[in-house]
Amino acid sequence: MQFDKFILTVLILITGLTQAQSTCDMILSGSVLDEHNQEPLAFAFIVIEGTSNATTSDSLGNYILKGVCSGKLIVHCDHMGCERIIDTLTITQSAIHNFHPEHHVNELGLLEITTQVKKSESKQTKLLSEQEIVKAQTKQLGVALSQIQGVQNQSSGNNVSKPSIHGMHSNRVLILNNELRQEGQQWGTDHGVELDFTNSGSVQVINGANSLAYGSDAIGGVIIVNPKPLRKKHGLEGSILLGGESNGKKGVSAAELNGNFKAIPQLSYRLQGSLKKSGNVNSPDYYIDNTGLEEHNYSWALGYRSNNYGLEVSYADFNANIGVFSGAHIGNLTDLQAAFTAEVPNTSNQFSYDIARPYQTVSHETVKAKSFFYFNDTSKLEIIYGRQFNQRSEFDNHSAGTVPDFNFNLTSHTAEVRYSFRGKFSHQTGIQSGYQTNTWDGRYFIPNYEKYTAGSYFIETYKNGHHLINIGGRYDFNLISVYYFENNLLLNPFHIYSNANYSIDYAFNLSDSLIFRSNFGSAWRPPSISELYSNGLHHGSASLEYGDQNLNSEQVYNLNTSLEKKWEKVEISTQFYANYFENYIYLAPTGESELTIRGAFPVYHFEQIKAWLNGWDFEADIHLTQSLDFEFGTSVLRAKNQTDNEFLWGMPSDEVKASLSYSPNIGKHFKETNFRLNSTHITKQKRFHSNSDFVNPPPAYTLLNFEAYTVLNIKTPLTIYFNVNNLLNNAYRDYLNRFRYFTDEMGRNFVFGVKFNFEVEEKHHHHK
Amino acid sequence: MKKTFLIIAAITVFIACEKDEKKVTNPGNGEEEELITTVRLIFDYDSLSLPVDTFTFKDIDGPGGLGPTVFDTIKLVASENYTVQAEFLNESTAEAEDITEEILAENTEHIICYSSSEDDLLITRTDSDGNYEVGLQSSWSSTEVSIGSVTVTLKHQPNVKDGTCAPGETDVEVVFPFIVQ
Repeated sequence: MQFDKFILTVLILITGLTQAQSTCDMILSGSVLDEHNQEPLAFAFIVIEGTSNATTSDSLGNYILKGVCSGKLIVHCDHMGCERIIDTLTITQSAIHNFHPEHHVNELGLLEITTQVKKSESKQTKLLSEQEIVKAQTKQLGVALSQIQGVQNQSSGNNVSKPSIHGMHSNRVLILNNELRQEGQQWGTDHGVELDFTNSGSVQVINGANSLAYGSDAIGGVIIVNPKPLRKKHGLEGSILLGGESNGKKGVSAAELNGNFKAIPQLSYRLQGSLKKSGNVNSPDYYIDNTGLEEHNYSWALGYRSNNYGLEVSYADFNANIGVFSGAHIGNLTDLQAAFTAEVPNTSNQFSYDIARPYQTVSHETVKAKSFFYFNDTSKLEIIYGRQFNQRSEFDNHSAGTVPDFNFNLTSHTAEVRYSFRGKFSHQTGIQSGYQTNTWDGRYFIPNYEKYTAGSYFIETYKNGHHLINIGGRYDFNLISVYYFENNLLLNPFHIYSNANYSIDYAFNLSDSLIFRSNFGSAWRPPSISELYSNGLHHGSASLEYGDQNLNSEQVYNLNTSLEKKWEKVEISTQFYANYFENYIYLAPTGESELTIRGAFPVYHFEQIKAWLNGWDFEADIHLTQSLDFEFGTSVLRAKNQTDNEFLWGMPSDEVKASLSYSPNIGKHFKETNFRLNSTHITKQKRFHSNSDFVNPPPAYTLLNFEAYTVLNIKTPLTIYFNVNNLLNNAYRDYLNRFRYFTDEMGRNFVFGVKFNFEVEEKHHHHK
Repeated sequence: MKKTFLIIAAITVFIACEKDEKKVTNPGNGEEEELITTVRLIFDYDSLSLPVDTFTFKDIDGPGGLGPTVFDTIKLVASENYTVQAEFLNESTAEAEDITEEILAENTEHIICYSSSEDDLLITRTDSDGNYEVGLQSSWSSTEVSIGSVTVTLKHQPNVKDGTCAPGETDVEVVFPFIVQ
């Protein structure tokens, strides 16, 4: 207790904001009983919304929450196999409150269990709120996630985007889409993430021991995108979304239908689809030629569940036709120099929906089959099989017609068995295996290959009072067999990479007010095929890039420490992280150039160096009044090539975000109403390797955005949002956009959308 | 609804299985169709009755890999006019491909630019696509004895050709050294 008081005092002094402490000594207790038979339910998870004050019910279904603050509370009660119960209580003194979940053992993902543990105990998870997901429906995944402190959008123009976590992206970030590792062509930044964001029910970023369940290579973290769970009650629910953006005249429509068959109550289904179209976007001063986008996606899922087992089959198809800014397609260094110096790109300056060469077409198809079996309320076994087809065709300026200049076909099969037990000691363990092939035709970029993977992991979680310890370990084996011609001779070299990694988390959670969390772990990834076998001109970046077949695995050790503190009017959270890479794979400039028929090109080699990526994220939320909030955040990253004592290039610069949020109560017909004015300041990156880039990083910029959101609470709720991005119509370039050489970013953009949710309940008999 | 759902599900499973993959063990042999490996300039003397001179830049394996195998210096005589023919070839394939014909066929999308480091070597394009010059044919006039270099640039300018060299994407940029004797 002495230590707690010390930390409290220090934090109060640091912020200089001495707030009167509210009375937080109430006790909330009660029982969790099955709605149907009044049987006590053990291991129900009870949490006070917006706090980390949580507990689980004991074997008699009883629970006790201490340190409850007076006032209005929203309490969630989750029990495996039940719909979540959300109750609003007004607490003036210690109180008793019982929950009656409708209990039938059924589907509940392992993910939800792990995130519940984390959310309550250690907050390793960073979630996008439902509101944030809805407001980002017309955006790309990287843009949506960049709202999270420490996550940036790494892009190649406005249509190709991927998230970067603490300066790590592409091969260093694992994306788990509907429980499958997203297997696209993630080498390099000129390919986006092939998933339909409108289909996401939840989006979160995790790191620490729990990420071991997904792969050894979650160096920057794991991004988990899941659709809404299948409907468990009889009836039908769904949503229709219509959204648009003024810049690019973008239109997005999406619909989802979730249902449960009345005749066969064990059977649930979901149908979902979306359409997107946009034309040339404009910077404040000109249209950015050929930047249109077309996307059509759909998915379905069918689930069967009985009391203790279930089966789910799902299918998703993503198709995109992506225009590439015509001014970014350059033939040689002279073109590149001309593009740098041009005030206005030497391209057509008008709006059009047409997508001409250069463009990319991408399709990604996913099939998943999953079965699960509950041994009892606390343990279950899951078996998942997934197959993904990823097909990419790129069409450049050279040829005409509909024949692509090059094609990649990536086919991935994954199979996984996992077992989890939840209790005071929770375990998760699993084995995973995969088989992947890549074929290409057209222009050579990377060779054909076959990849075999196998991995196995365990994660142990121990929870006692304020303390949580998470320990995990993992071992992986990778074999890559490569096929290519050299001097008309077919070569078939192979590479084997195997390694173990581990992670240990400790979290200390002092009821509501203080959470300390620390994690130490290792991660590794095998070199990607492009890092091993790139050989020649990288079109578009005007450089000759050479892979190295002798690269070793990239090995990293990381330490993360975070502290969250909550007072009545102020909440702060801060995270320090340090990543030490033993052999960071790095595209290093050699300083030499090679003569070609297109002139001389600078030469880059993939090399391995020792590197440090260290940084700090900070967030503060000040509740100025009941309805007015001021939020502040900053992210700082230092990335150093230790071997050559130089900075690493291409790393995010320091940023500061501030926002003022007003949530008025405008009558009973509206809820969650929120107006927000936010500004982001991105500093100029001064820390970069001076010989690595053609031009220096762009200057600092500040953007102002306005957001409005409300839910019209009529018979069926209607969500309405309206945003203005880049309110001041600033012309700027972003260092993390590879197209910064060629064009300004988008100018002012009005974004609007409505989401209509409906539910048709088929009443069935309740007995209390 | 149920029926619709089951029909859609059945169809997609069927379509899904139809996607065929190429054989991974049988990769392409790097025969690139649009590759230009060779630039050839054929000089015909206007006044002297001498056989044509041909000067070549050749990088048989394309950009990267091995360097150029042939890189000639253009040798000219003083005070002479030449009619010059430019040729572009892909010699990486078993049977050499003449890219010049494609450029001629798409001459409204291409321009060849010649830029001399010395003022006394004058180069003008003499052919046209109907609106603008193309540059597959040109006239070169030498005056005094000199040395320098000529940059030969082939630009691909779909929909943006305006008679200048600025727009478009560079397909070829070779800096030939020259000597006027």
